[in-house]
Amino acid sequence: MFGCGTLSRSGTGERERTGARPGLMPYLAVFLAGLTISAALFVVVLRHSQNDDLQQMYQEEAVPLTVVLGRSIENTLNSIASIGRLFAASNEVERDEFRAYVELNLARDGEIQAIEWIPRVSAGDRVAYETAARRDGFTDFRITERNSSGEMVPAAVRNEYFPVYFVEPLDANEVALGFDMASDPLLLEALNRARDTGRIAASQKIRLVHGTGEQYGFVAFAPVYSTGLVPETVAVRREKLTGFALGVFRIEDILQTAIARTQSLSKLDLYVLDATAPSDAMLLYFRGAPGQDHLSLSAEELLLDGYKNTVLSVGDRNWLLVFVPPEGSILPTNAAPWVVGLFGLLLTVGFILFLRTTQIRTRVIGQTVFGRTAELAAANRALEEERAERTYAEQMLWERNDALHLMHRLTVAGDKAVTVDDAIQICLEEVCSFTDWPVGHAFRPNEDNPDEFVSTGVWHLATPERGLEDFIRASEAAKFLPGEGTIGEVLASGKPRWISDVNQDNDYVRAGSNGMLPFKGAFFIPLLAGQTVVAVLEFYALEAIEPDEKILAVVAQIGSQLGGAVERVQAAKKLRDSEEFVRLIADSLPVVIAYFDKDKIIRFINQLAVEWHQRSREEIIGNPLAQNITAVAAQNHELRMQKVLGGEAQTFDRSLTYPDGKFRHVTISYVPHFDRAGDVVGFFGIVQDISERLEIERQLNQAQKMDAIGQLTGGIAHDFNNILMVTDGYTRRALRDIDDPDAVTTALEEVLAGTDRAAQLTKQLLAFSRRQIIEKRVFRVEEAISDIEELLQKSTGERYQLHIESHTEGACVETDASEFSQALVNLVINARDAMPRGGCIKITSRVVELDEEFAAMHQKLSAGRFVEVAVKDNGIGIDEDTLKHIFEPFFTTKDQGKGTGLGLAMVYGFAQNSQGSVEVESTLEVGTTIKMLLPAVDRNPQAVIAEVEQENLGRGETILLVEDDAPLLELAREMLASLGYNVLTASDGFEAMEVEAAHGSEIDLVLSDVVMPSIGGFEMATIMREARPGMKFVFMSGYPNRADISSENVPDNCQFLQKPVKPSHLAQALRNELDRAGTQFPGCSP
Amino acid sequence: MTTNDKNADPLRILLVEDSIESMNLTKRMLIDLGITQIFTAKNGSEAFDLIGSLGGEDFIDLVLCDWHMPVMNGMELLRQIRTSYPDLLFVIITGQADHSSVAEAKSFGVSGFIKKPFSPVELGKKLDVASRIISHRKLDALVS
Repeated sequence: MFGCGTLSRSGTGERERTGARPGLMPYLAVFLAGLTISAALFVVVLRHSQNDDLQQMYQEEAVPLTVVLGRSIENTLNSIASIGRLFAASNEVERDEFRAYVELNLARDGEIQAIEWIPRVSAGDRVAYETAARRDGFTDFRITERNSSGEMVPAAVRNEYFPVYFVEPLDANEVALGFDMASDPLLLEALNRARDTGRIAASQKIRLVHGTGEQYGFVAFAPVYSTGLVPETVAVRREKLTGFALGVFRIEDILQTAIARTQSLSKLDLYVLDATAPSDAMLLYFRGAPGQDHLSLSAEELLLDGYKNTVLSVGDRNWLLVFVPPEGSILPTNAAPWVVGLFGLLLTVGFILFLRTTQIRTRVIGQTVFGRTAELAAANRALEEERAERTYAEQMLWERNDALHLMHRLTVAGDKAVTVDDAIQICLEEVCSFTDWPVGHAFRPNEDNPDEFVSTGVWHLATPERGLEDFIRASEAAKFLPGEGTIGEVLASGKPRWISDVNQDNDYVRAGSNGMLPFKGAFFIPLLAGQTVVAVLEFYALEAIEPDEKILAVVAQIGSQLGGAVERVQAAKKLRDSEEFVRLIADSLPVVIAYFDKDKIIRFINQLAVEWHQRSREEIIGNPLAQNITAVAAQNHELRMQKVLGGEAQTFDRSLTYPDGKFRHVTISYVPHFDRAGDVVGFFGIVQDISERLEIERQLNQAQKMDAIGQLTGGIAHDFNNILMVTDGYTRRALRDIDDPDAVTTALEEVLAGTDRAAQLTKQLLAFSRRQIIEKRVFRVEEAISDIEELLQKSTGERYQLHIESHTEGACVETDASEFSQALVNLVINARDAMPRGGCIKITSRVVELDEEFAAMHQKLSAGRFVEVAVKDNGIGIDEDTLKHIFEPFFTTKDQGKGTGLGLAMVYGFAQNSQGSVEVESTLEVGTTIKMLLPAVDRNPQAVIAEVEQENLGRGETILLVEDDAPLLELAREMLASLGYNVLTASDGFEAMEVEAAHGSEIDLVLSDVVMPSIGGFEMATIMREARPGMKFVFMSGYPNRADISSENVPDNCQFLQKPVKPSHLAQALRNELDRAGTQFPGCSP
Repeated sequence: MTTNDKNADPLRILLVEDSIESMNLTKRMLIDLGITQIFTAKNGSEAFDLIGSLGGEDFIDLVLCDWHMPVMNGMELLRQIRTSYPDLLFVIITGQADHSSVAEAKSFGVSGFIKKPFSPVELGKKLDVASRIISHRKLDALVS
């Protein structure tokens, strides 16, 4: 190549040949070496250049494809998830509702073969579901599965099914209706994963039959639980699962759409593998470079050979996008290897042609650099274009998602809204912003008449209010019944309505002042809870706008979605109302209710507590009890609180003055509040005012006492019979032995003893029954005691020491002195009988001050100064059981014949009548002290009033008592009865005449008031005398100066008394009138 | 029921009662008791007007009046009657008598009470008394 001369001289032939070889050899060696190096360099650079090409192609094609494809799949799966949420949010999703919701997604995602709802159907519900679907119009509906030959047959019996229940679009997928997804092992596997993870799970590839032929697809399951949210544990997820929203996707269509969007992939083969599938099911998709129409590599080869790939998440599966350069493309796409090879050769030749080749080499390198720069710039430009394309594609996707986002915002807002008005306000704002319409307003049922719809008063005005006043006023005054106006029409149909121009619409009844509205386009949405319209929203645009399908499709869904939210808000309000109701109950109860936490801090009180404590709830709540009551009381409560916090309920009585100034007897109950674990977390305090109950009990006691008196009649009869037997027996004996003076004397003495006993019994009985006329007078207690000291000493006997101490310092009481003496005697006798073997009886008297609290605990007692007379013995004491009964009449512990059982009862009755009380303190084997408490008076002692004289008492005559003042009537009746008269009563003249008509002949005398309503005493007397001329009258009047009591009005032959009438005077007047000569019998004389 | 027969003039009674059933029942009883002149009013206001137009206590002998009535109750009617006709006999028909109401009626000058439900015998007793009072008063008026 580099030229060699031929030498002719033989003598030097060997040397020349030898000399010529070394001359050529270096060139040859250099040439060979150069050639070898050049070839090696050529190969190295060629490899390097190919890698660069691949990298560039990958950057240009694979990355954008992966991004677009990833976005597309993510959006698709989000659609499925949102349908899942639709089912989670609402118990009842209707077929129409589902269709409307799904149509949006189908319209957007052309690669979706179907969107379905597969409920979880237990074996027991299978028939019900099949029947329901048939009722929906799918007459052949049944739960199916594929048999071995691929035909649809009724599903075999299983525990549960996941049949395709709703499917959209229906036309292409009707054959799938009823197909039990769980019957296909591939789908079952994905379905179980979705159920257990709570996330969207995608299936392996499955073969899809579609209108355009067969292709691979996959199914994505979004689980729906009855709890709404995904439960915490797998076990609960399995239990609460209600079904799946699912989508069936065509893999080829997804990929081709993505490829079309990126407008790439012309130079590389694309394999899409499901990395999580078994190897035989891995390959999802193949797309060859131009001219490459068959698979050249298996899945294993693709994974092992380290081709460029990207990973894509599809639900919980990973897809690999593997990019493979086409087979045989080994020729370099640029000049670098050649240049390097040539450069090597040039270097080789360079030894010879160094200078020339240097020049050539420089030019060639320059050209190479220029070419590379241009190529890089072109690549950059292509990338920029790709990026712009990608941004545009993303924007398109977001726009399509706007409606879904609106729905989402409304759902979230609806969930958060506290009041119905809030929910409506948010809805108006969102829809106005979505549609760009300026005015939104809402109607809801009238609270008084739920059929009628009235304005909520909630507006969204994105336009100035000016010019709308008339419209707003008209709207807020408007009322719509179903069918009335546009609102009524929407209300009746439950369907949205669109009006292009309200001014041209006849149904539209509201208008502005000039009959024209400031806007034209309008649409109306019913908010539906189930089938019930809970509100109607209306929106207005300034321009006339033809119905917009997009808006109508969205608002149709808002109706049911927001309706649900409104219903939830209403339910929440009901709950609050019920809380208020409970509070109302607590406040209405006539007991104080408080709740304490376990730190004894008050956490709740009702209204009555506020009233009693005269402090506001805020002042009481949050503080311990001690701040609300006195320290002593608080100390008392402390122990009780400890016990109730230990779980032991407490009930106890207290008498205290509350801050409202009222003294109350209360029963306090502490009731522990246990949590579920059985620990005490607080307690309730319930305070009941029992003051009234105590009063009623006291009255009941009194009634029982009266009852006891009735029962005693038997006992008295017995005693009297004994006495009668004695007197009868001895009288007969006296008669029999009349000639024997001694025997007669003895007998008559026994008779006398008997009558004495009878008199004693009668006297005590009368004292007890209070029929005895009480002659009250003021006397000194110590004098009264010393007056009967001798009597007391006598009644005890010599074995007893009587010790009297008086510290009353001249204090007086006002009561019946003889009864006082009798009571004291009774007490002393009682003390004596408690010490059969003799002992000391101590009588002490002193003045005591009784406070309100003490007084409140004793019947008939009021606070103030009292004289206490105590009789103390050191006898056997009284046990607790006996103590309860000692004041009961005829209760005695003494041997038969020894006591009447009336002694202490008399003492008790006496003290009560004197507005006093009796207290007993007794210790067994130590002794008993009985104290009489009598109110002290500040007056000086009075002289003793003469008692009613014996001859003035009644003799069983009958008196008709007429008095219109009820208490006075009762007092006078008692007085007359105690004087020994039978008494008939009447409360007015009219009634008196009725009584007179019924009992006329029995009545001996009429004792009557003069002034009575309608029929006065005198008129009554005159009329009565018309029938019974001899009727006797005694009149009492408190009005001595009244004209109608002038002498001419007073009937003849009757007595007249001035009120108040003293018992002795009354007794005498009655006796005189009754004894008046010749008038003993009615009707005898004029 | 018997006293009535003895008198030349049977009682003229104004029955004031808002319940038609009670009205008819009482009217039936009155007729059985020999009363032939019975006037009726459905409430106090009507009764007061009727008394005025009939000539007051000179004509009506006895007002039998229910306590609880609409428009003007028995108590109110009594109060009005007493201002114009102080002597007119006025018997209140009471369902339940509480002491304060009885006292109030007395303070207004009620003549008597009859408790619901009442028997013809009970009603007859009231009429007897009224009859006696009326005939006494008439005699008294003649004498003076």
